[in-house]
Amino acid sequence: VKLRHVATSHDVGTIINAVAHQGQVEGGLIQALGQAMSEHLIVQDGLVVTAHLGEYKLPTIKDIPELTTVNVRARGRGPFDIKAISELTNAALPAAIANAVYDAVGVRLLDLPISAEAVFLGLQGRKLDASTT
Amino acid sequence: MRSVKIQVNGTAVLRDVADNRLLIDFLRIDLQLTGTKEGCSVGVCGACTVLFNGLPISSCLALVAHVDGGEVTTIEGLPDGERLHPVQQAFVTHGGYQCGICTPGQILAAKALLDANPRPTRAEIQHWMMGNLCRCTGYYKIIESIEAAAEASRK
Repeated sequence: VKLRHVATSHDVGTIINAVAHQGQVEGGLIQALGQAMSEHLIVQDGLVVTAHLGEYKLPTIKDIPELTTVNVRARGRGPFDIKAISELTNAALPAAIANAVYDAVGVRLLDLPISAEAVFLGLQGRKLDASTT
Repeated sequence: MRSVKIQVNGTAVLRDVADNRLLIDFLRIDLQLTGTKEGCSVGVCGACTVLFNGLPISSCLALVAHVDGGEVTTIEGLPDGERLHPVQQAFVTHGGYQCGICTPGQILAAKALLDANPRPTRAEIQHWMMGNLCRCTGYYKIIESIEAAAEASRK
């Protein structure tokens, strides 16, 4: 499963610091990318066996897709018409990727991360064993 | 114990250290250079990156004995007095940091890249920098910062 391009649109108020605002968009998205496609805290018999960040697999600078961001300006409720951003950019991507996989190959995945192994098993009508993955 | 002589940020440091003293503990505890951050402690995150004879190494995996007789550069060694190094300034201007823990390592790795390759392509930046993890920025602004620092050095 390879993510080629992400286009996002955000309902924003007044942007006070444009660089920091876009940084929140990008940071939230790549956290979502990790959650959706690689990050995995493996627990076996009640013990965490993911030993370190290399096994947990944060996205690296080589894993990021092309990105298009569209900010849709609306009136915010805060002072200066501000609205929140940051965590909001984190929410949609895992579901969007799962839907893209379903659209492409007809496999409906409800567990994260979405891995090649999960898609392969899904194509055979099987599921990953949650206790060992 | 052993006696070591290391150029740290341009100053000669003479110390007696235990054979198993880690470079990161030597820098942070013995020399009080706390700009170097410890992340994973096993060499996968890049937060503890320092330059040894100009090249990036993980100070959490290096012994002081390894760098005896050489030059070590930490983030404290980059500014010229009150004036930030161009790579530092680019990270500030272009939002190449958020929480800051990975930032000293990112900046030192980026400096080593630009020293070796003053005009890197985006793919070359991504290849060189992939040993430095960042949880906050999503990396786009780190790339922008390094491109801006490369651009600034051409003027």
